[in-house]
Amino acid sequence: MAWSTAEVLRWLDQVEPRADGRSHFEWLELGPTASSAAIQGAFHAIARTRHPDLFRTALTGGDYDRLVRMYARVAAAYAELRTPEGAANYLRQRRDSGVPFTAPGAAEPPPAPPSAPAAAAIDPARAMNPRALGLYRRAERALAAGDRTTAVLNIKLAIAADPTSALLRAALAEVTGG
Amino acid sequence: MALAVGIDLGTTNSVVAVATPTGVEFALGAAGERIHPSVVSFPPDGGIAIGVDAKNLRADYPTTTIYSAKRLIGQNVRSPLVQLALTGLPFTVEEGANQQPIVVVGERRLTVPEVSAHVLGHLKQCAQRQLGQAVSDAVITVPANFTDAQRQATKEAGRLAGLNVLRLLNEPTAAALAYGFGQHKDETVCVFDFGGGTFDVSLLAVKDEVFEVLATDGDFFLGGDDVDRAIAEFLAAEVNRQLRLDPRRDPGLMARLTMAAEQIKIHLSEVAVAEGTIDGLTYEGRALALPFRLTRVQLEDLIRGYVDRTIELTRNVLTTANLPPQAITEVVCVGGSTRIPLVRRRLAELFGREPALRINPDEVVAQGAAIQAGSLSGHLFRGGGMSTRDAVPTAALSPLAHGGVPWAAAAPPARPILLDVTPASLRISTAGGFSEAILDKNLPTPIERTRVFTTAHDHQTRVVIECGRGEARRFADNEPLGTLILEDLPPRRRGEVRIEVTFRVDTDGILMVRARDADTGIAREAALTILGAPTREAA
Repeated sequence: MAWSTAEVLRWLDQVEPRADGRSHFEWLELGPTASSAAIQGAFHAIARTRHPDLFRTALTGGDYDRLVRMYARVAAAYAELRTPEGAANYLRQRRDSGVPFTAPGAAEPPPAPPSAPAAAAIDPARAMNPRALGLYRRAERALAAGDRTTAVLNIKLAIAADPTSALLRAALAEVTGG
Repeated sequence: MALAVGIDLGTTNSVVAVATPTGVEFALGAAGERIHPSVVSFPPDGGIAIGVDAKNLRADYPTTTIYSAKRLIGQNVRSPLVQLALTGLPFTVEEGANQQPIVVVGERRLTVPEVSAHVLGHLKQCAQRQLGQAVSDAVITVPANFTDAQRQATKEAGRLAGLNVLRLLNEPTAAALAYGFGQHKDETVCVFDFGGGTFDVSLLAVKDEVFEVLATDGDFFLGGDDVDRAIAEFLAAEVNRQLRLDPRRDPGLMARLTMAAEQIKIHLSEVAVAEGTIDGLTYEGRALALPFRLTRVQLEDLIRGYVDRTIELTRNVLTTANLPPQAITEVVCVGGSTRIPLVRRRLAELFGREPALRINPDEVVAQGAAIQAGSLSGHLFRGGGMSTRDAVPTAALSPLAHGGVPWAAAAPPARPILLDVTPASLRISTAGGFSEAILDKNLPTPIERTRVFTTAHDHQTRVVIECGRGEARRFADNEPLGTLILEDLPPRRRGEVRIEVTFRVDTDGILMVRARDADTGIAREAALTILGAPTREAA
């Protein structure tokens, strides 16, 4: 479901100042271990919530143009990462050039276990409402304990609590492997 | 409140529709027709006829009846393919300002957008008459492989017709939208769009309200007109054989043969043999009648090359998307030429399944455009909800009254999200006659990408950035788009001045180019002049 205009404006304020410094994974609100299916899921989740077409009448000229420009960055990120080869290339280039992925200081992408929910690049606390966050944390603990079924259940409950969270949809796609 | 309509502005025929809270309704012409020929005629006694009326004048006034304008819109008149297309048209086309084609009708000189604006104005009137309301906004569909200039010229045509063009929507995407809208599908669909003048094929992932184009390809000069011409040439050879005269010297006779060819083509989609006599022909004032016999097998031999080409492009697009034919869960046929049995047979062979039958190939594109128009204007889906309280309660708005297409559910479904792609690579010229793609083919739009280039000579203060469209490494082998010039650069050693070139494709598929001197920080932006595009002071 589409975001409110207030939510979109808040997102624009958040991403615009560091637009050039964001990695492709950050644009897609994913961690660097995300699978192709998770990458497509994340792009669809962003499109569902803030594709410019949804705000054609709701946003005034200047803000609509801002949204098109920032959405165009998300699309460019997706274009490069959507195939496994593209994502691998991108990771290699970033590693070779020594550009940190998330915060300065983290020269290497964090070696997350393959089954962990991706999207570690952004703070979950900012990507969903508090009720969903509690359930998401429970899912994280279940995964750490190797209990995938409980993890999936809790992520689904979290999505029910906050259907707008792109991170949750991406996490679900990641954990269910598609 | 004014309504937003969806318009399928076709090479041969156009359709206009509106999405209402209960379904999609088509706007009919004065004689009740749902399909409006994209024809504009200027009879010698003055006045203008558009649509069905104009098509009926085509044989009487072959040199002042304009059709297939879509083949010329936004084209550089000097391009070899356009010159080839012109050899088959009985009306006169000259070169105007900025190398754009100008249609000459007696004393009048019309730009191609002006011709198309007459068609759009007619469609607008049909919609207004039927809905009893003013129509101000429209979504107009274009072939997926339309270039920038073609898109801009189509927008210009809309503007000239007094329409606010909300969006240019790619035809195959519109068809997929009409097919999957509100159906909660999770499918990979192939849209095979073989229309009057153009061929497009797109693969889409349809997941609920998200329609993501995975890859698209096409041929701008391939359509039902080619089939008609192949049959007309067969008939012309018959005229020559039986009546011992050369019909190609008489445009009126050729126009009648082409119109008969279209009828024969349609007939041969139903039966195995077409046999009869074409009456009402005249040659230098003499009345003629031509007996003919054409079998479906003969027709298939005449057109096999065209059909092979569409299948080849379909295989290409599958390769691009890295999908086997079996991965396609549905084949959606668009355009009248998909009614040809040979086309259906070849598609069934390729995909191992018959194309979807519940789709009306003539109407599905306008239907998708109408849904997108309703969505963008906010009339259909206010606030993302599904309320019908904004319904306009007039009898004319019942889709069933005119055989429209009602929604599967009781209320219009969630707003669709269309994720379309760039139909071709967009590149700039680099040293040595080569080129570098800034945006590749099949990237999601809207998209923006920046690449950094350096100067090639010492003390270079001026860079000329040539932009082109196509897949060739050699710049000259691509279609030129225009040139951007960046001046007053600081004089430095070669390679020391860094220039950022940004390409952005917007939601209409239109390109914007920006070049910026990265080091001085001075942003110098320039607009790209596109050859063949309409200029305000054109003809």
